[in-house]
Amino acid sequence: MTKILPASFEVHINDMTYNYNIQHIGIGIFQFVIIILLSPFFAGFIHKLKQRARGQKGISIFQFYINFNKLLKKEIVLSKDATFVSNIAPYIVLVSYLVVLLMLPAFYRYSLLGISSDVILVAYTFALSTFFMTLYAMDQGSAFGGLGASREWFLTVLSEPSLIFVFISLAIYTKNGRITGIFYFIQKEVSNTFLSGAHSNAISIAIPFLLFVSLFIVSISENARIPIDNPETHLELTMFHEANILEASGKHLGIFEYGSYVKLTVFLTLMSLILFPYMAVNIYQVPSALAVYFLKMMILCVFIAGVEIFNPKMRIFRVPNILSVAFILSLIAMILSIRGF
Amino acid sequence: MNTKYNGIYRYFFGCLSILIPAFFIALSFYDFKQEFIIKSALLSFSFKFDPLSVFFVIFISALSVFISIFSIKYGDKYDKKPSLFFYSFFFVVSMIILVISNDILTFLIFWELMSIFSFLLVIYEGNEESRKAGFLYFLMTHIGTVLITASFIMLYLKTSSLSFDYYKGTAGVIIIAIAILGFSIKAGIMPFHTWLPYAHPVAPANISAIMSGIMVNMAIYGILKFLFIFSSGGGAFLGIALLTLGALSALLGIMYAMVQKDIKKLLAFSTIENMGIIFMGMGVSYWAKIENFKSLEYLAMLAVLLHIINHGLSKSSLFMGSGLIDKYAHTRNMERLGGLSKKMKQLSVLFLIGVMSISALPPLNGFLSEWYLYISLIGSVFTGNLYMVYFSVIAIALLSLSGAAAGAAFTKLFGITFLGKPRTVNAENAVEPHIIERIGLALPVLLCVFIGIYPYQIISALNAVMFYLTGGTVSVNPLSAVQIIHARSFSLYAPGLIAIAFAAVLLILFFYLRAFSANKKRIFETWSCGLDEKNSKAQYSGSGFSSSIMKVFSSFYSSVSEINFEKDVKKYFRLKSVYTEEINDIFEKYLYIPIGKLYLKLSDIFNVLANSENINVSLGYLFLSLIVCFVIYIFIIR
Repeated sequence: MTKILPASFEVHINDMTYNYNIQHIGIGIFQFVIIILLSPFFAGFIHKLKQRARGQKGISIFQFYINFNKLLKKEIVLSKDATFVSNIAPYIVLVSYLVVLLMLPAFYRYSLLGISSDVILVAYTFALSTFFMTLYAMDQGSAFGGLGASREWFLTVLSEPSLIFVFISLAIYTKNGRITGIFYFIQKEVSNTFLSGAHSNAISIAIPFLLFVSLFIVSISENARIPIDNPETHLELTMFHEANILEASGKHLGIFEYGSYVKLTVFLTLMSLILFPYMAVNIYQVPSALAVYFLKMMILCVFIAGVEIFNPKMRIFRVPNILSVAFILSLIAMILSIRGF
Repeated sequence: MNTKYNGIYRYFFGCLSILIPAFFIALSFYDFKQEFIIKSALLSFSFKFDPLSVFFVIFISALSVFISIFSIKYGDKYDKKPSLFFYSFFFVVSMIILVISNDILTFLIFWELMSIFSFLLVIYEGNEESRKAGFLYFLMTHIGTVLITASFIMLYLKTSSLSFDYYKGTAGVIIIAIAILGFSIKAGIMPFHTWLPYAHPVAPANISAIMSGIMVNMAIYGILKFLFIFSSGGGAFLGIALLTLGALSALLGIMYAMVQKDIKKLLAFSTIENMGIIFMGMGVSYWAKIENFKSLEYLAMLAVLLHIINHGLSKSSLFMGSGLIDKYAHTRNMERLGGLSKKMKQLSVLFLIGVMSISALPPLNGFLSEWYLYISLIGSVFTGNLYMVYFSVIAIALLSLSGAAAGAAFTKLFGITFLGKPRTVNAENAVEPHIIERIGLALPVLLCVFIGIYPYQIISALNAVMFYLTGGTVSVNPLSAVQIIHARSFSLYAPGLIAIAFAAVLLILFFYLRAFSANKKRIFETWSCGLDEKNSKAQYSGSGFSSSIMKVFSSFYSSVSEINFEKDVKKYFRLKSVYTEEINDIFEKYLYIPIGKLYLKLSDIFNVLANSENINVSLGYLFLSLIVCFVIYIFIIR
């Protein structure tokens, strides 16, 4: 009983066409370093906006750089009950964010780890960081740590499916499994549509829009932003993220804080790429792409700050409602992208 | 029996269960083509090494060698009752022979031997709990055996041959469905899983490691054999059914795992989850086989085979670890442990790697097979088949939810057990396990890391099995992309590259911080809101950890919790309050217990009817049964 093969559906496992040359590597490193350097700035900018909107004078935009530097100079106070986990966890948390950053084509198409920037890998690398952060929290035997770990996983269990769905619908929509490929596809299609003026079937506005909204909600929950968490307070009833790193001090606290800036930047970058992908493909476009990237990030920072200003913090068991909205939106986006073929 | 020589059984059977599997590994590397037949007066056994059996022989043997090394020292607490070593040796051997058997009788005999030896091991401890679990296991596994036997008999009626050689491409949809039903009971797939969370924890830890890491995979072996070798091609819905069952067990398994207090029970539920993942892969693969999406079939099959290995390695190492915790800290209840990492430093490192591997975190092996599964699910979305798109989108959702929940469950397991302050004196007095026990645990853990970072060797070895099952292979170039041509889609996870990236960034960060930061450290007490009290019970408990997730997904559980106070005491200064929480399996509560009650009721009725004193009634029954036999003869047999 043989059947005729429907369409040419094949999974090939073949060699990559992702050529690394010295220019790609050079600009890739430049991109990586500049985003790392910029990330406390974005966090500081959001903070400044929030404080200004509340009528406070506020700290300097560059305050987080100063904080980081100061924390590095301070001594670490470790708990008596701390084990080896406390010594490695901060590093792994930051490194997993940095590895995600290595994959992102923020403003240059050929990111350093673009060859292996699979969407599911990105989502699970975030899970790795959550895993170690919560282990760190539980390591000191403080009740706050357990509380923070429990709540962090509570959020992750609810938001990770939406994150994976956002990524997979992007992958299905653009027919590409890599982050670099996905955003380059959107960019190409958008520019084709704009330049030729003809409406092409390949690109739709609904899908990126839905995914943007979904990713926005997920980012707010993953980055401990106000409707869900408020990292500025140290009140045990409201802590999510802060409770995890409550026992951290000195260098470890610095690494965790920097990690949260990098994570925020990674999510903002992802949103900026969905919103308006503009990546340089050669060295001459890099300055303009960098400028556009910076502009997009500023706009997104204003968005985030706006949400934080206009919303009160939610009760913990109302969080699933808003996260399920994110999930539904990404599900709709996935259905729309499946409809394409 | 002389107590002096008690250890001798352990050493004898320990060495034997290292040597015999090692012999079988050597045998399977030798490329046998022909069938071996052992004939005796009544029975004839026939054996054959095909690539699938070779894969399973190596898998079983290697894992049981690790577990035997572990048991040589670990088993000394069972010296008083050395039947353990005897049973476990024959348990392993019967599994090895099971996968090389080549006719119905051999298969069923060794399947039954495997079940009986594992049953004897489940009831080994002899207490009330283990007898209950053993009974349930015995019952369920024999229902499974009945179904498997039925499907084999149907195959026999169809081909009139006992040998597996003649079954290639003969099994129809109904035969396969019955066989899958039978094997799912052994695999512990969700509606049929009730025995698993009882039977796996009560056995001694090394036996749980064998049962959870190896024995459940025998069901996978059977299903693979039916789906990819015996199947006559047809019934694409079976693939979708497997996918759905798998997704259901993956989610519910890990959701139940999360709320357990007993370490071994948590691990047992996690086995259900991983069997679900394997079922999902098999479902996609079989569906793709029927619908002729060849490459999707290979990809999903790769996910299945890799996940069998990965789950076996990490689960057996975790069960061994739980045994060591039980042995040296004298309890398996997480709420009574804590702070073990300080006392058992090396064990905790090994356990951490095992936990990371099983919760599928990136540079380790668990992620690799889950990634292949994700890619094949995305691939089945690309096929555009209406039903498959629908079900694979649901499957992706459930798989991602179960992936996150696995992270939570295993953070709870590691965090509550190994980190923080010791909650009881027993946990405080734990010591580092013996070196041989640590070696037995370390070998599979090291393999986990190795497969995670450099899987190309394993994948190229699996190609032979894949070629046998599906007729295709995948390339194993370290930098090769998984490309789905129909959709121009390609993606790639290069495990080695990611591991190198992790290491490189970590090193740069480390040296940067070394150069630019103060390296002062002070050890001080954990801040406890200014209280001076050193109450280790004030830490977060395991049930507290999972309670918020449990509250959101409360429809999955049927839980009863209550707080009992002493009535007469003042409201805020109670000396004692008792909190009880009972989490029941919904399937058990709404499916199995009603069935059991119905059965008992019916038996009561029959009991009353049958025990009648009146001879006329008995004669009436005789007459009635004759009529029934006659009707059966007329309408069914003739």
